[in-house]
Amino acid sequence: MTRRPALRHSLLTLAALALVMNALSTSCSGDAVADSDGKVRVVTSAELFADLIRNVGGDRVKVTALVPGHADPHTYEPVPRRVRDVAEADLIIINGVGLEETLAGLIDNNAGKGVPVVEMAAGLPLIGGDPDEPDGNPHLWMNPQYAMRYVERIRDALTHVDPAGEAAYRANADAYIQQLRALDDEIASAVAAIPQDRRKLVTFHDSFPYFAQRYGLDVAGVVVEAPGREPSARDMARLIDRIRDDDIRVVFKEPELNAGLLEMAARDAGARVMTLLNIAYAGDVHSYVELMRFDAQQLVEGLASP
Amino acid sequence: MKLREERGEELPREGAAVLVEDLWAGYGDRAALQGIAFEAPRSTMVGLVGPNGSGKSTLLKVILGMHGAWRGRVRIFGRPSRDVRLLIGYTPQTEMVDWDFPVTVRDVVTMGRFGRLGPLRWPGSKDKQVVQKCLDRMRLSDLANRQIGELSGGQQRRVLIARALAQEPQVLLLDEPMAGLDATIQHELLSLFEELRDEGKTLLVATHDLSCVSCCFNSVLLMNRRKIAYGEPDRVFTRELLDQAFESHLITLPAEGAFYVEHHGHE
Amino acid sequence: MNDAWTWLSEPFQYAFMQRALLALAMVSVVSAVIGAFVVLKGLAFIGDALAHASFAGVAIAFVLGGSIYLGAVIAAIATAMAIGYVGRRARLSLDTAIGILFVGAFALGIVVISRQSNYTVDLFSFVFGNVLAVGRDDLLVIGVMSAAIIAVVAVFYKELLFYSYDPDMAAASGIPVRFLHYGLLALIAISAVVALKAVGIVLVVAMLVTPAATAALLVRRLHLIMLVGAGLGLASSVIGLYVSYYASVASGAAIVLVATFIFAVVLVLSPRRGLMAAMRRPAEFYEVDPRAAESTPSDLV
Repeated sequence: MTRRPALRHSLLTLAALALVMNALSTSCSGDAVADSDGKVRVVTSAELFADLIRNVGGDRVKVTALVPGHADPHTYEPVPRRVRDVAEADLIIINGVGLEETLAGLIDNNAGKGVPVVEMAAGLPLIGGDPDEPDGNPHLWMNPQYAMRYVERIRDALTHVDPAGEAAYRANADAYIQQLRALDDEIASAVAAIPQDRRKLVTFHDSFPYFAQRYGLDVAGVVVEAPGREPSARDMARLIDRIRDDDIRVVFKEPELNAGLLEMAARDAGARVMTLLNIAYAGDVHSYVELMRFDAQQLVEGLASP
Repeated sequence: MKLREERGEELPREGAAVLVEDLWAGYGDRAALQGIAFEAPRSTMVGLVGPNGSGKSTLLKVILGMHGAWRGRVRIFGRPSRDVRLLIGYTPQTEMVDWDFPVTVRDVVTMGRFGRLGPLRWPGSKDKQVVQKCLDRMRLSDLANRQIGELSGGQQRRVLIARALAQEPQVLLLDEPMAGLDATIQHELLSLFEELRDEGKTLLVATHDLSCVSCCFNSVLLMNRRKIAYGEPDRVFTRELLDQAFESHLITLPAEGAFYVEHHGHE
Repeated sequence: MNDAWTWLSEPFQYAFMQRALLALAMVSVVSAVIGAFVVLKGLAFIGDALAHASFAGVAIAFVLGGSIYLGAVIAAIATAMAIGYVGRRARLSLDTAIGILFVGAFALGIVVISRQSNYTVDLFSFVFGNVLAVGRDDLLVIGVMSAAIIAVVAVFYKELLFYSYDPDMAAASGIPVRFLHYGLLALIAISAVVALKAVGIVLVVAMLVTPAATAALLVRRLHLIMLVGAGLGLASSVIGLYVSYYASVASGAAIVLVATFIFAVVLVLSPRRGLMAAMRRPAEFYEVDPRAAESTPSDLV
């Protein structure tokens, strides 16, 4: 992804992790912070993450996502109304690894003093590392096993700012992680139905490497490295060649990004276009679990059929 | 389909060629013409004389229909100018022309024919003949394929006159056609004007050359925004009337029966 | 030898490159034909303004789910008519009026876009062009609009010529100058939209101006300027596409850079009007006007 102010975020991440570690090692700490109706105010970047946070926080939290459900967090420019949300948050949870590039300024400038900013992906093993993105690809949540780690960090962060809710957070997290395990198995067996030679994924942008890695798919090509970066003519030519040479019949677009180039490449290469989701919602999908299920269905339908 | 009158095929037998009545016109709220009136028959040369800013150019433009009048009438062969546009040829002052434009002499003269052709019709052989005749008449044939910017001032002036002629007009409005030309060419132009007059055309010529007007023109309109006098040059070019028109900026020195004119200190 | 041929032919074996080239060919021809008038009548600023103003139409069309081209054309023509109207009234400086109008329209487009959060990638391609994404539908639209523009110019060629050269005389000759005044602006508006997909809003004015301006340095007849301009535009497009392919740079900008480079070369080398020629003849460079010799000062009043 595009470069972010690495130093500042690293410091914040370390600070947040230190706080979380500290909370784990003491039984009682600090003041419970809550707003007038008693709930913990959490701000996150995407609705998808808000879903995870709600599953852990339950009634004890009030979660706001800075980016609307259908939009793309890589490039979304937040409206000024969101400033208030950030300023009044008790806890800020983001993905990190450069995903929230355009939100960084908003958060840095408006988060209250001492309000923790937690990066869910910090410290996890990353894919990617070409010269443009030394921090790697941020789409870790597409692997449910990483999503489970996200849930654990959410639990710990909530416990830190609201120690009174520790038991509830632990219980909720455990239950949700069970769901995610079941989901993981479900997807694995669905994908297993796809023949080996058809397990080639062409998507609009590079959002599926973790998913591919987990379920044994191969990312055969992408149109753009990151949203906002246009491919050159040669890149397009190589992609079309790849689609043809590997006999890829279906390519996948993402609904929050304009996929004109992908559709054009598909047409020229004789492939079909279907949809996959990676962070933005579409249609009936309103939660993480639904999103992952949807993708599994799409992949089976697109790749498994002749 | 143009009216036959417009093409000059049927003109009323009688009546003035050019009739101007109580004409008022101007720019913004400044009146450049204040109640001008005169009448010019066919086959005549009329000089328009007056100091700078007296409205000579404006008068020509209003007669042509290029500029609107506030009050009064202009009739060309009894009809408003806009109905008989093709009958009126016009040559502007040369400072107003874009000489860098990528057109040749022949192109510019041919433009005189465009008014007769509608969209999609290209100049035909008759048009080309007329253009060639005009080029010959103005002695521009050798220069026909040059870009207009390559020509000298006198040559450029001749191109504009040739364009006006190519239109085959019955009335010719000329704005200072002789300014800045050397004497031989002025003389040639004058002969040409006399030829055209003898062919039946009416010429209105705005000019500063009083001697030329007094020797060769049929009538003169002496003006300074309003009409000072109109009639034969002998009757109009009196000291008194000239002083009125030029507001004592003009010194006339009668010498051997001809007028010498010097202009002094105006804007 | 074989390598050279492969190198030349490789980019164009792809359908999308062929489409890009075809689109650019049409854009070059139309831009040169209209560009000749733009250059001669000093309408480059208006051309730029119309390209920017079309963005408002693009944004609104996108939000309403309608045809982007239609939105662009409507916005561009509306702005053209507004400019034409102000130009004839001339109470406000035309330059100022254009500046206010087009930036306002552009800002309107941005406001509309900013309400739609998922448009950012297309924003880039409309502002900077995306000739690689020209589809068959785009080719059809570009083709139809180009044919319409060329047809109108052919029908009214001599009227446009006369009007451009000498609008007052043209009016006096009965040529419908008001129609041509607005008509030419509308043609520029549509030409801008034709070039939009290929080079984007920011660079449209380059397609209109640079090849025609280069041609004007080389030839001195209007129809030749159009012809040579089209050729130069096409050459810039082909070379620009190769550069874009092999150097992995934005195609629209590459094409414009090539066209500008060609202009610079011609400007320096042109035998009569160029810079080098001027340096060899210093007297003429300081514009001693040969025509001045014919006039005598006392007659110049």
